[in-house]
Amino acid sequence: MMNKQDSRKKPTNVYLQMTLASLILVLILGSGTVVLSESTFINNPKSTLVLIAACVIYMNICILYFYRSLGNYYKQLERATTQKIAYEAELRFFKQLKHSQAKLYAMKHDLNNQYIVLMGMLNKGDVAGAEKYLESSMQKVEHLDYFFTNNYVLNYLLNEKKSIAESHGVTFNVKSFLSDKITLDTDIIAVVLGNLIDNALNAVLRLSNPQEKEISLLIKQFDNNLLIEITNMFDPTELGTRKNRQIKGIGIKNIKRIVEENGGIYRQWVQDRQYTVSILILNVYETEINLSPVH
Amino acid sequence: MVIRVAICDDVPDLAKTIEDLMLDYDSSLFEIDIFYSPFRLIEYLEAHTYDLFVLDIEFPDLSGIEIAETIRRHNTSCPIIFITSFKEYMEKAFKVNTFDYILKPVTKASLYPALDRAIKYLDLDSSKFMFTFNKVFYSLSFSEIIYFEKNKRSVLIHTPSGTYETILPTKTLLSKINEHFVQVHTSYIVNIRHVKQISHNTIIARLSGKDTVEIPISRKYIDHARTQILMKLRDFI
Repeated sequence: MMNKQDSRKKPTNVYLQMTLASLILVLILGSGTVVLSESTFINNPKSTLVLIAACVIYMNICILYFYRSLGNYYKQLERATTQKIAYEAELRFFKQLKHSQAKLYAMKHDLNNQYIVLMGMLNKGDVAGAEKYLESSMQKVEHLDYFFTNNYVLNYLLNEKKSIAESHGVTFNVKSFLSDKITLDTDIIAVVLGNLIDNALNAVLRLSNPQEKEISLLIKQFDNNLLIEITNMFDPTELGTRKNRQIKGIGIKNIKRIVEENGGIYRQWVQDRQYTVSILILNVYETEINLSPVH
Repeated sequence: MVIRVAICDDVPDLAKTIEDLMLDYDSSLFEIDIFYSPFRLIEYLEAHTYDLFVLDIEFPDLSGIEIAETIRRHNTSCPIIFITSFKEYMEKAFKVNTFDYILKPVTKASLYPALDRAIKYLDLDSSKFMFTFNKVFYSLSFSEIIYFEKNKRSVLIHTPSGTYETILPTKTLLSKINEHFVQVHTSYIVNIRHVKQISHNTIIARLSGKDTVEIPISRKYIDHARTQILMKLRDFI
């Protein structure tokens, strides 16, 4: 992402160019004045006015040039910052990938050991023991990974968030019914979901009552429309810190913008200390209903 | 109004549990038929219809999805709730526009929210929009009206089967319609249930089949309209 050569001009270059250009021009004007001082041209008040006007115009051009260069510089700076954020996000993703890969290797190792144990039991003819052993290890596997959707990126994201929430003692309930074939880009749903969950998690972690540490997420598709709804307990007295939180991540305003740019509706409200964000994205799936007659 | 329900499960005990839970929910609301064989249900559907289906997804010879495909040939909109033992769902479930997916064992906690939403979706409100034009009295059910269009003094009532006309001031019209309608423009009032897409200045509504209509939306009403659409549709998604 950052392999492009940084061709940005530094503002010092602009200053240098302008100083040099000005110096050359002052020199030309100065020598011109010396040469022409003998003639009547310079003594003419009209020509002095023309000279001053030329200088003012030149200064204005310089200022315009300066603003343009500065504008370009900031535009490039902004682009570079966005790239940096994207790069960091990618880096984080790879770190998580590395972590899950390590987990996978550990599981493979465990599996190998389990096979050895099973083999030993079966060799001894202990079928009941082997069955019991298999049952318990199957239960373990079930708890390792949850199924939420056939979209593996979103499934991975939800699993990661669930394990983060649970490691902080937060109950994270997910009801998900989402097709792998929706017209909306997975990246968009991932950004929206990731931020919504992070916001909810931060709010819940600040609550003192452990029984209130619960987040409910609903991702449901019906009639070609998609509803994403997240609910958590929230302390309404915390408005100050909420402001701080909005600066972090991509912020609520940005989630709202992303949703609306993709033909969706974003609303949030607080009711009985419960904070709800509801997102409805219309027309994300085209149902192909075969209307041919029954044979 | 009664909701006609078909439950299809090859395990009689499970079918009975679902029936009992539904009768516990509201004994006078549902008229329930139970089928133990998916083929019997498919055969019965040739001549009969239901408002709501609760189907087991796993049968020895046929999947619940195949029953749903048959149902959809006759009825494109009735809600279908699947009962399953697996958390993983198939992509095919979306093709038949599944209303909900409930994991076994079926309990009050899992079935009742789905029933709440199905009832809202089926819209039991049987009140009608009544009007006269050229001394002829008309009565239309609200669900078949796609949108109202104000044209000077008259109101055009657009339905999939055609357009009707009556003379009404906007204020009176607004007082006569139910909560499924939202004003999106000085001259347009749309039925939320028919909204397909929404952008900054238009709403696309379903007319019939794949036909759609573009309705302008004005800055003054957009915020309120968006909120109304979200709040109404989230009730039964």
